[in-house]
Amino acid sequence: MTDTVCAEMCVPPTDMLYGSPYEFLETGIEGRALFNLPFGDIVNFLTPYTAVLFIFALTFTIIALISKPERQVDTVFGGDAYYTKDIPKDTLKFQRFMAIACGLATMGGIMAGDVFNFTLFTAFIGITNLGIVAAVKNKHILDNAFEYGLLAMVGTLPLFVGAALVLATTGTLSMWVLFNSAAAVPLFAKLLLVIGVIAEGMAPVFVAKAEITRAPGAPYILMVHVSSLLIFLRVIEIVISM
Amino acid sequence: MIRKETEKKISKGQAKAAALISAIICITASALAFAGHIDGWLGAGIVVVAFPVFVLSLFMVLRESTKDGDYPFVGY
Amino acid sequence: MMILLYIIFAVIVGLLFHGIHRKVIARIQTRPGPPIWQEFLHVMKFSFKQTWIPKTASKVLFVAIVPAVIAIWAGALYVLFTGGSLLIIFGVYLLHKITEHGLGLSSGSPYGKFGAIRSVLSAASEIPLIASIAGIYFVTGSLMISDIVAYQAENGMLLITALPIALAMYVIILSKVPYSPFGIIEAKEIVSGNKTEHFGAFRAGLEVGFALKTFVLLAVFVTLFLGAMPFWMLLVASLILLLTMSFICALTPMLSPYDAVTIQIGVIIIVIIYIAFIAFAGGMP
Repeated sequence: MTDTVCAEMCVPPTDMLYGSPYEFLETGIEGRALFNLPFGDIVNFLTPYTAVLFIFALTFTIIALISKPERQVDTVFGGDAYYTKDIPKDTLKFQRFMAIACGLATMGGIMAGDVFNFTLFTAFIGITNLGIVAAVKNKHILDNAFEYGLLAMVGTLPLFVGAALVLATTGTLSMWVLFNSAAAVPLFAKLLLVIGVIAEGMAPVFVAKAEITRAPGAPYILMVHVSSLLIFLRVIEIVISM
Repeated sequence: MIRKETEKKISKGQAKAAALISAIICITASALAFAGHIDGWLGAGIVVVAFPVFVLSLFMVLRESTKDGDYPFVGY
Repeated sequence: MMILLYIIFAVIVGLLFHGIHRKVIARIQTRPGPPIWQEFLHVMKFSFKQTWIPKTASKVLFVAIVPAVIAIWAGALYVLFTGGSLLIIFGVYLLHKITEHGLGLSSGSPYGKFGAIRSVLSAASEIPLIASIAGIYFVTGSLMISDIVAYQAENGMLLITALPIALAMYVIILSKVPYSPFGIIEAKEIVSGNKTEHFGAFRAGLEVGFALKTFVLLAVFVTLFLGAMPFWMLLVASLILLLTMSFICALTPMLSPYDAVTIQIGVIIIVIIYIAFIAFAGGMP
C-alpha cells in the first residue's frame, strides 16, 4: 500500500489528532472521562456513565459469588401442598461459575475501549448466559436453551459484521478515536451492532417465556438479565457517541 | 426455627454499629465534599454507598424483636 | 453537608408526593382517602415490624437489593443536580429494572417471580425512553443536562418545541408512579408482585428508595422539558406534573400486561415518526 492511499484510509496516530495520547475523552454525551488506560490507539477509559455500570456489574457479580441460591417454592397442581426446589450441588457449582464468568464478561464489555473487544465480550456474555440456563436439568428449559443457543449463534453474525463495517468505513476500531473525531459511522453498521447485542443478551427473550419460572436459582438467573441490560446500555452509549 | 437463624445473623448490636458507622461516613464525606477537601463526585459516591446502608441498618435497629411475647393493646 | 441533605430532602418530598398522589386519587374516586403524610406512617410502621429473611430466599440478594434501589436513585439525584449526563439517569432507570427483577427473584415466592417476569416483560417501556433520549440528543445536540438547560434558555421550552418526546417521557414516568395503569409488576392478582416477600425493615427501605425514584423522575421531566427554574418552582412544577398523573391513575384501570406493552409500543412509534420528520424535513436546528 502506498503512502498516499494510506493517508486516505488510515487514521493518523492519536497524538497527532488530539495532542497528548493521555488526553481525556470528553463528549457532550457522557461528560469527561475519569480514567484512561491507553494501549496504543486503543484507549480503555471510564466515564461516569460506564463507572456506574461497572460498579453495578461488580456488585451483582459479588452477590452471585457469595449468595446461596433461592429455593423456589412450587405448588403441587390440584392441591394445597407445595414443595421447594433445591438446586443440586453440581448444578449449583456450574451455574455459579457461569454467573461469575458472565459478570466478568459484562465488566469487560463495559470497560472495553475498542469496538471489536466490545463485540467479543458480548459474544462471551451470550455463551455464559446460555451456560447459566442450560445448567438446569429440565426438559423444557434445555429445549429453550437450545433455541437461545441458535439465536446467540445467529446473533454473532450482525455483531461482528457491525464491528467489521466500523473498521472498514472509518479505519479504526478505537472508541476513543471514534467518539472524538467526526468520522461518520454508517447507520447500517450501528444498526447491526444493536441487533447483534439484542440477540446475544437474551434476557427479554428468556423471560417472555414461561421457562424462567421453571428455572430456579435467583442470583444466577438474575445475571442473565444484569448482563443483557448492562451490555445493552453500553451499546446505546457506543451507538449514540459514534 | 427460621427466625432464630436470622436473629443470630443480624443482631441489633451489629445493626446499631452499622448505622452509626455509615452515618458518620455519610456526614464526613458530604462535609468534606462541601468544604472542597475531596472532589464532589467522590463525596457523592461515598454518600451514595453509605446512605442506603444507614437507612437499612437504622430500620433494622428499630425493628420489633422476633421473640414471642405479650403485646400491649395500644388502641385502634 | 449538601449531598446528604439533598438526598434526605428528596426522600421526604418523595414520600409526601406519594401521600398527595394517594389523597388525590381517593378524592377523585369520592373516597376520603388517607392523610397526605400516610407514606411516612407507612415507612415508620414497616420499620417497627418484625423482620427476618424467608427460608427459601437467596439471602444476600434478598437483603442487598434494597440498598441497591436506594443507592442508584441517590446517585441519579446527584447527577441531576450537578447537571451531569442524561445517559446516566437513563442507565439508572434500566438498573432499576434489574433491581425490580432481583427483588422478585430473590425470595423464591411464585408471586415475586411473576412480578419480576412482568418487570422484564415491560422492557417495552424502555424503548420509548431510548427514543426520547435519542430525540433530545437530536434536538439539542448534547446529552449533558446542563447543556439541555442552556439550550432551553435560548430556544424556549422543549415541552413546546419537542412535544412528542415529552409525551414519551411522560408515559415512562407514568409507568413508574404507584397505582399506575402500567404498574403491571405490582398488580393485585399477583398479591404485591415483586414486593410481596419484602416485609418489615426491608419494605421500609424499599419505600424510601421508591420515594427517591418518584422525586428524581419528576424533577428530571421538569428540568428536561421546562428548563431551569428556582428550586421551589421545581417542586411546584413536579407536584403539578404528579397531579396530572394522579388523575390518569384514578380514572384508568390497571391494564393487562399485553395492553400496557402495546400502548408503550404505540408511543415509541409516534416518537420515531417525529424524529424521522425532524430529520428529513430539516427541522433540526
